[in-house]
Amino acid sequence: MLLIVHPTLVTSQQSPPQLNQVIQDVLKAESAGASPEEIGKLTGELNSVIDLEDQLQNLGPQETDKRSQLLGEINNSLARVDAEANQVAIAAAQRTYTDHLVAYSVGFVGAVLATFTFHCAFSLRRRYRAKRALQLRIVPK
Amino acid sequence: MRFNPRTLRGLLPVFLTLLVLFEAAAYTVTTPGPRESFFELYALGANGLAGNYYPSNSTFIEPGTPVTWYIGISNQMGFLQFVDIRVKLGNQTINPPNDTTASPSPAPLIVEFRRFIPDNGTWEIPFVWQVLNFTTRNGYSRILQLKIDDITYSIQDSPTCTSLKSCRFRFIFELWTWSVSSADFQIGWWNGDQRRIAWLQLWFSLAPGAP
Repeated sequence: MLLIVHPTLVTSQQSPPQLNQVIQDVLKAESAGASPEEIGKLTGELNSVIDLEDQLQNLGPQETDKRSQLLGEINNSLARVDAEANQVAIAAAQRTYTDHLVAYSVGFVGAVLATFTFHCAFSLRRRYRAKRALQLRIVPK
Repeated sequence: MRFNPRTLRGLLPVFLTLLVLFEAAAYTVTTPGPRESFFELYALGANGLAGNYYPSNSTFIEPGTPVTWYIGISNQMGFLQFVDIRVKLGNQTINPPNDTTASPSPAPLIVEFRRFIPDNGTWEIPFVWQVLNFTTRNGYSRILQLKIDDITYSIQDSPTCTSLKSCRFRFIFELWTWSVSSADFQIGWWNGDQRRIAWLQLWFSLAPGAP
């Protein structure tokens, strides 16, 4: 059981400035089209950093070795997540670009095929009507 | 089938019309539509259901009796969110958060829980608490020590009551979200140009020796 007595009220936890940069990079990866699985993995790693920060906050003032060890782990984790987020962003941007290219190409090909089908149908109808006209007989009333 | 220039000229408007239609369909498929963005904040009782919030179904809590709640947040904002649940201890008179001005409660902050939640993700926090110590001095009663999730918190400047039996305390749970532009937590979130907040409160009374 962990027992900590806070002499004063808990003040709002301050995150290191590096964290904001990492969050921005993860959000960039997400807006670039990263999959939920990729974002889920990055989210899990970011939450591990938060757990480390919580451990750091609960350390006593005399535990300096543990404090510096945790700080090192936090910085390393943040750097790793940031690098992963940048890689995911690049891959997601390429994937999204390819997806868009394929979708618009399919649209173009679809329009060509639909025009060709329209032309064929129109030609067949014209031929059929011409054939019917030639087969008509003039019957006196 | 042969295409002469006259036929091609005739087909051009048809092709252009179809091209616009097909590319509009491609745009619709590749572009996510607008959706309402919001958070859900909720509290559940000891069994993880919307009930059984208090031991013996009484809001009168004896000091030393553990109470279990689950605080849940669901992220429907459309992207990853860094959230912070701030738990404050209030009494009957202290102001709760103001929905109109989107300002937090001035009640003292006891503890906060932070988490990254992906889009469509839900996070539930087990919140097990008990009052360890309280005092009644000069006609005023106040809670001195709270134990939350195996951590003991000594509370200075906690809200006071004139009579312990008639006084009702409350835990206020405020939802704060990370703002990338200010690099800090802000209460609530922005929905377009509107600021929205979400908060909960759960009341209890202290009943030394009486359920």
